[in-house]
Amino acid sequence: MLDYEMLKVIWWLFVGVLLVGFAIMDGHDMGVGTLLPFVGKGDDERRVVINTVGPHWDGNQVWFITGGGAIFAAWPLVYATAFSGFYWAMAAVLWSMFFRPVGFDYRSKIDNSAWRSAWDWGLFVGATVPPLIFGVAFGNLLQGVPFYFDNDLRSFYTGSFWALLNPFALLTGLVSTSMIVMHGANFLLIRTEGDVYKRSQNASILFGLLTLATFAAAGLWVAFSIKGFVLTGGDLPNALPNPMGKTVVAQAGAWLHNYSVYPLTMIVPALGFAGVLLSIVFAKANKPVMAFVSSAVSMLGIIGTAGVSMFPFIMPSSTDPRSSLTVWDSVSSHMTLELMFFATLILLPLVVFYTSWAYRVMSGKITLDFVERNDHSTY
Amino acid sequence: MISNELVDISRLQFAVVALFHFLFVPLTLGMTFILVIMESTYVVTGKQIYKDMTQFWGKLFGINFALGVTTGITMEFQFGTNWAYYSHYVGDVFGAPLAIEGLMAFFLESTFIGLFFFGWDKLSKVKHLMVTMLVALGSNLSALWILIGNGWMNNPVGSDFSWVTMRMEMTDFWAVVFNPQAQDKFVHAVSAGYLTASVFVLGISSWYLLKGRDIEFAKRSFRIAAAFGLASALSVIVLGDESGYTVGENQETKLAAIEAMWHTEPAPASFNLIAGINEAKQKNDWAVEIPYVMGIIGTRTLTKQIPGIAEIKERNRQHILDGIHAVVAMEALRKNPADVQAKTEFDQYKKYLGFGLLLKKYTEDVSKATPAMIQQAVNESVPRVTPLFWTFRIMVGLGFAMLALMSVALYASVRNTFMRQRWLLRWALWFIPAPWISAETGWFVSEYGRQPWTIYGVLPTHLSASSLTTASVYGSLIGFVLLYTGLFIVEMYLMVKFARQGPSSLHTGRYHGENHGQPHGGGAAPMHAPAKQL
Amino acid sequence: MWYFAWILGVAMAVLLAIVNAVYGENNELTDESHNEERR
Ligand code: HDD
Ligand code: HEM
Ligand code: HEM
Repeated sequence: MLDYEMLKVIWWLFVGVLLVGFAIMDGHDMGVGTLLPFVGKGDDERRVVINTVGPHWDGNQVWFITGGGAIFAAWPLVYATAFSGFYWAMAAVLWSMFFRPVGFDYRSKIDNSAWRSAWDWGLFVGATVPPLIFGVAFGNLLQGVPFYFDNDLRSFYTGSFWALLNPFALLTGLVSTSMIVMHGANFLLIRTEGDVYKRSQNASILFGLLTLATFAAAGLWVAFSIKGFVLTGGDLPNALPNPMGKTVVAQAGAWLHNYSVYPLTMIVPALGFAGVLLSIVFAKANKPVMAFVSSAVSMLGIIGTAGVSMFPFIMPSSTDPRSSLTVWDSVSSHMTLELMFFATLILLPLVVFYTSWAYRVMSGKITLDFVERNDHSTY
Repeated sequence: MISNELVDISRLQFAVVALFHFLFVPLTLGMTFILVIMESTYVVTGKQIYKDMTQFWGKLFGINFALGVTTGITMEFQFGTNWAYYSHYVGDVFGAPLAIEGLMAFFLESTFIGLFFFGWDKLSKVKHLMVTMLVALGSNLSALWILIGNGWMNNPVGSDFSWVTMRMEMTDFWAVVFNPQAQDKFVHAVSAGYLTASVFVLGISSWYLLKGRDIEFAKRSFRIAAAFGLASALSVIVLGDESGYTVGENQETKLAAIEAMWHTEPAPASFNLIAGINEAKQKNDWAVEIPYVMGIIGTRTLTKQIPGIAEIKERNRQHILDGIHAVVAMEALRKNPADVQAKTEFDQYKKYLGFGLLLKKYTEDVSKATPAMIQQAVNESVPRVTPLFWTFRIMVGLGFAMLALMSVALYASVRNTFMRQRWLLRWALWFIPAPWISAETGWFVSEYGRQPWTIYGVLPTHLSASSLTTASVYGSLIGFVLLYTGLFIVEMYLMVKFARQGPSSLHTGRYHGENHGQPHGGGAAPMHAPAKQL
Repeated sequence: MWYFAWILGVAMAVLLAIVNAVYGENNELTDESHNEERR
């Protein structure tokens, strides 16, 4: 049916869709979590903030889990190499995320201000660390990661955790954090009113500007002083995946290569910039829904930019370039890709359908009055 | 090379996080259905008290659910972080059920759970009931897909090794889905979950009855738990027996170790109820035997033999010797894909590749394996007997004890006498931990019994681990233990606090200790009736 | 086909529990009327 090359490209797109889906869905409740201690003053306001995402954070988090599962199924070598290589970064993500389910669920079950404020900071950590680390991870992917394979395809990671935190990666971490906070602030505009609304509006504009600046800076940095990678031989798109059968060289400016060969792809970074600008404008103009859509578009653009720049690379190796993982050679078998293609085609639209229904049922502003009336049944 | 210490602590970490995850899983699996039952009864009878029951037990369920999710996130990434070579080697087969689990089950469960808690005023009665049903469906589908994955690890059907990509590849998805071992495991494990939740509700309700408070509420909860619990207990045992049978078919080593069958006996073999196991001499010093039973459980016939450990080891020795050819041929093929002789040799011995890989624990180059190494690999090809033998008996013993509890409880609930049978109420209360002990020992039997393999007969545990430093794994292990302990304390604190408060935690004004109560419209007897004489 | 058995089985178990609950409600009613004899 579908040929192998086609499926490999489709899966690159699908993983992209899941990552962007994660950023848009889990991103907005993470942004809300980061803002929680700052836009909510006093317990009631904080409960308003938490209850804007109360019914939805768990479903949204599944975008993250499914992203992991999909990478396992479609790109097993990436799943194996990235998560064992970035071991401590992954631990930090997991451990910080521990505070989310319990934070949401346990915080308001006990009426004690120390308890509640402790969980508020737990929610803050659980919302802020993961986007930061994902951004840092992308920064490292763009620079190449120190790993190689032996003849049995066992991967060895030769870097350290601290080396991940280099200046460029910290910058991309900032891009990711600020876009997510901007997006979360936009969601709060939809769901709140009064003081919380006002503070969220300021946050949205502030982090919009920060996203704009850091995204532009990262772009210039990539253009002028990051070495990209180029595939120079082997690795035929239709062949059985073999990560060791290709040749690769590192080259300055190589990450801009795709844009000059296919100028149409420049739309992607353009969407990134346009989305942020519109988000700022709409947030200022008190058009919450439009602002939210704009920040969603900007995340599509920003994450897409990283993907398009690197295509067909997924995880280039800085120490042994031929071990680099690409869209052609880190994938599952034809059969599994095809099977998962149909599974996703059927199940993902269903998910989007009932998620929208759930948002519709729970729509409307969360007010101070509402939280006070439902003291024992809300978060 | 991967050090033994690294493999051991990686296993320990997996065992800790998985067993911890499974403290919360069974209650979720069963409680969602009990909530369906309570809410259905509410919709059918229209009595407010059943809505209160749904909300109160739902509250306890929510406290448990939060940690189920927390610990589940860890599990999703354990394979990548700590079992990287495993992930590469079998991701083509194993990744698919895991991804489908996310798409089909977690989304469903997690999206609707929000509506379950927050949608009471926004949805009609029937719509809300549908939401509760979807939560139950979602949680059970998640068990389905993960156990299809786990079933495949125990009985790797529908797949084939490719030396080009150096991994197992899927050849028949439906064979993986309908794997007999996956089916048994799924029904056995979800039934274990239903039983867990039934015992939980039964035990806490009994406590209210013993205290003479919230009688109307507790009585109704008790009845539901007893009926659902009896059905579940029966199902757990029937499917446990069935699991034993498929294990006998597919994993001789596990069955022989569970039964401490050191030598093949003439069919039908007898069942060792208990035994004095002597690991050093590879025999039982004494045993209480029930004739015929083992043969029937293991083979469903009176004539088929069940191989004993000594015989299995001798067979494994031959497999290992054959496996050496397979490994050597595969390594030659990877260097030179055009090597025709290696190709023929490989095709001939391919079946035993996994057994050849067992030797990698002792030497990088398996063609140079010494007889001593081979002997060691043979010895380690069967898991240790003592822990398996006893954990299995704990699970089964508690299983029958819970069956008895549920039978008596249902009988008493039909006769409507249980409020007066304080011994029964005490029994139910003290049995609350039993299903958890059974479930944890069950996983131990299943996973430890699979050793030395992660994929039975295909991939040795030793090769599966990531090439991390031991310091990293010790560090993360300590981190998990500390965080999990802290979270567990918080969870138990809340669970006990709300269980003690009982339905008054809903603040409806209708329950024990709430003085401002007004008579409620539900039709059940008044809540403030003085505690009845029990 | 244990999957199939599960679908039927869980539906039956849920029904059994609902029936037992409703039956219990009836019992309650008769119980109320015979309160004195019962205790
Ligand atoms: C027999 C059932 C069973 C088994 C063997 C496992 N799980 Fe589990 N898991 C569940 C049954 C379950 C559940 C009942 O669906 C949970 C428990 C509590 C909950 O919230 O959902 C869950 C939660 C849960 C979550 C959170 C989902 C969410 O956010 O809603 C993840 C990511 C995993 N699990 C992943 C795993 C992995 C990777 C496992 C294998 C190593 C695993 N589970 C074993
Ligand atoms: C949540 C339920 C589970 C529990 C409680 C559990 C329990 C355990 C235990 C106790 C061990 C340690 C065995 C040993 O080291 O001797 C183990 C190992 C392991 N289990 Fe499970 N397991 C569970 C689910 C799964 C599932 C669903 C899978 C795969 C789908 C799985 C895969 C593994 C792997 C890869 C290891 C490590 C290698 C090994 O030691 O066998 N486990 N598990
Ligand atoms: C009373 C009779 C029981 C029998 C004969 C029985 C039998 C078995 C067997 C043979 C296995 C290993 C399956 C495998 O390795 O594939 C197993 C696993 C397991 N058992 Fe039981 N069991 C019984 C009761 C229980 C009870 C009461 C519980 C919990 C409430 C329980 C929970 C589990 C769990 C969670 C597993 C691991 C998952 C699986 O492999 O299915 N069992 N049981």
